[in-house]
Amino acid sequence: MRFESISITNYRQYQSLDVAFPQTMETDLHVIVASNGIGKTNMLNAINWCLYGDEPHLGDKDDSLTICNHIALEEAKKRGEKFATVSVCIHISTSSGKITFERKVDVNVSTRFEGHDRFKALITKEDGNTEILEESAADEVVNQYLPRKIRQYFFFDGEQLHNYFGKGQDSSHVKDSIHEIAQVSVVTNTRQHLEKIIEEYQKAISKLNPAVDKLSAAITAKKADRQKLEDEIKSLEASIKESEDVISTLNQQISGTETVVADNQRYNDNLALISQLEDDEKKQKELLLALVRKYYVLLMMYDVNTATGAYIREKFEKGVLPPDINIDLIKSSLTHHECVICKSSIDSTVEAYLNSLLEKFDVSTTVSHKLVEIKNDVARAVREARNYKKDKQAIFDRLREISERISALTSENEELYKRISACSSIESIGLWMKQREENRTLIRINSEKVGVYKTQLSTLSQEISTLQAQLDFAIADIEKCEEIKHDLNFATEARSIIAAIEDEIISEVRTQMESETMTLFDELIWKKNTYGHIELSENYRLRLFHKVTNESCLGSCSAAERELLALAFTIALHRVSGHDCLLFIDTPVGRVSDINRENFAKSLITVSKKKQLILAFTPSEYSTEIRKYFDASVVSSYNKMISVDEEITRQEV
Amino acid sequence: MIQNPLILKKLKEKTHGDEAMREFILSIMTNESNGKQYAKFFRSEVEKYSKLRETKGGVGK
Repeated sequence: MRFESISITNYRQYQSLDVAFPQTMETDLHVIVASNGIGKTNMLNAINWCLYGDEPHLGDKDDSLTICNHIALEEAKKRGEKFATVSVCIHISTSSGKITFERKVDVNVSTRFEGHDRFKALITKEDGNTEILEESAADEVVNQYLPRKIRQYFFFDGEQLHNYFGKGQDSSHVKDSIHEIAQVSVVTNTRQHLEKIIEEYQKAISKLNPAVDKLSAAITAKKADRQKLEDEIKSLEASIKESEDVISTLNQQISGTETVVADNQRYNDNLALISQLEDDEKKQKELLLALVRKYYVLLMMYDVNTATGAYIREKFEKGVLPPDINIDLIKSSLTHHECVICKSSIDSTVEAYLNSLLEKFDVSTTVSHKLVEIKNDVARAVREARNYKKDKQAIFDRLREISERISALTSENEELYKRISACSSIESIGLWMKQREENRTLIRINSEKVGVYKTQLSTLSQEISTLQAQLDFAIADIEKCEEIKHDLNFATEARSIIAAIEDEIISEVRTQMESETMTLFDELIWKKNTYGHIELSENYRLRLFHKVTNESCLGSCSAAERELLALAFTIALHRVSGHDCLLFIDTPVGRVSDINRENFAKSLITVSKKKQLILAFTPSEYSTEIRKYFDASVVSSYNKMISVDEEITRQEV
Repeated sequence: MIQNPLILKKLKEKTHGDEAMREFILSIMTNESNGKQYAKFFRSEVEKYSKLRETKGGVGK
């Protein structure tokens, strides 16, 4: 890839500038010579602005003039235009055609505010077809040829080169950039992305494979269950059929004899009942005997008790009973020889009288007391004796009832026996009926089971059908799985190859960079016996070793030597990476002088045979030491850049 | 596009004449270098080149 030309309109000091970089010689070397302030660095800024939309080499963007040329703004204002347009076009050629990158922005002539810039890429392919891509799509095209991340390796300011490997520089950034420009990052990204694809394949396979095994196992299990149910149903249906046959046979045998069994049952029930009644009759007779025993004395004593009771009642009614003589009082008076009531003394006459009273009343008082005592018992015995008839009648009634019931049952059984005895095998009929009932129960139970099993069978069949459909899909997936496995194996193999390339490239790029940088550095500097070799750490920290002492000596290098080392490193990077793009260096040898400049010129001519070089010198920098080599090799030289009124830079015709 | 000759050299070495594999890796690397979306492209390329290699006869052919 190379720059064909650059067209700048109203960009900073460039009101209108067209610079072409034709390739007409063996070398592709182009020189721009201009004094300080004419705009060499702003040409670098114009390129950056066009391709990336920023101006990295501007001192302080916030404290700088508007991007639009001051005179252009004034002229637009005079013409009554509201805006002046800034544009930078870069025309490049690639192996597949030509591309024009164009960025434009309108600047308000009154406020000098910038509008939104517009960026596009016009691609003209070798077959003449064109395509216009805008904004981010155009950015992608830029990144394809001149990746933004590594632009400092295409467009750089030579005055900053000596800081390339200074202390505090982040070498990991250098490593990243080198990996980017040498396309190690492409290899790494390819590997990483391929790994993601491989993961996807693996996930897809792991999703597909287990399904078949699981589904097959599930279907087999369900089918076994279904077979079991079907066998069970068959067995039950056979059993039902058997029961039905048995019932049918039994029905034939039992036909017309159903009542005999009932009669027989009734006969037996009656016998049991008669037996119970006979027991009851026996019990009632025992009760009657007990009644007789109980009432015997009462009845025998009934008349005596009735008379005694009447006598006692009569005595009570007359007030004779209970007796009112206090024998104890008499006895106490006799003991104390005085009346216990009036305390008068008792003489022998009174004493004899009291003793005769004692003798007289002693017996009658005892009898009276006894009569009072038995009064209630006598009355109770009379009452109880009067219950005898009622109690006796109750037992006789029950005995009669029992007798009648036994008689009725016996009569019924006689009738039943007549009917039963007419049938020869009553036991067989009972057995048949029992068997029939058992078989009916069996049919009912088995039919219920068959119903349940058939429901289960239907569910099971549905499940098998669903699983089978899933299995069919899974089997189809397995076929797809085989295809994925095939692709996975291919991708895995590719990943291994890419990983091996990546490992070797990382190592070899570093080794080649060490050797190529040293070779170029050796060509650029006049000291041929000072610097021995270069080492790059894994993080691309550069160390320069003294040829004799083998000590690290980068810190001892002059600013010019460091600048040349950086230049050597950059050119080495372009060579090792094979990156097909130009090198634009502003002020490449500002700090370099004399013989080093001659070496620089010779080396750059060699480089320009394989790569487009655009170098922007100050007049003093573009010294005779350089010109004597360059004059014969420079394809285009813009050495008449002048400033008009300090506002506009023009190419003097 | 892959410009680094070292990568191209290594690719040739590592694929041992397996053209389908070499073309596949070059294709996906080129796609990567152009900053294009990878997923769909990679998958279709895997499919395409794995089949192509089968047709051509596999590794070392």
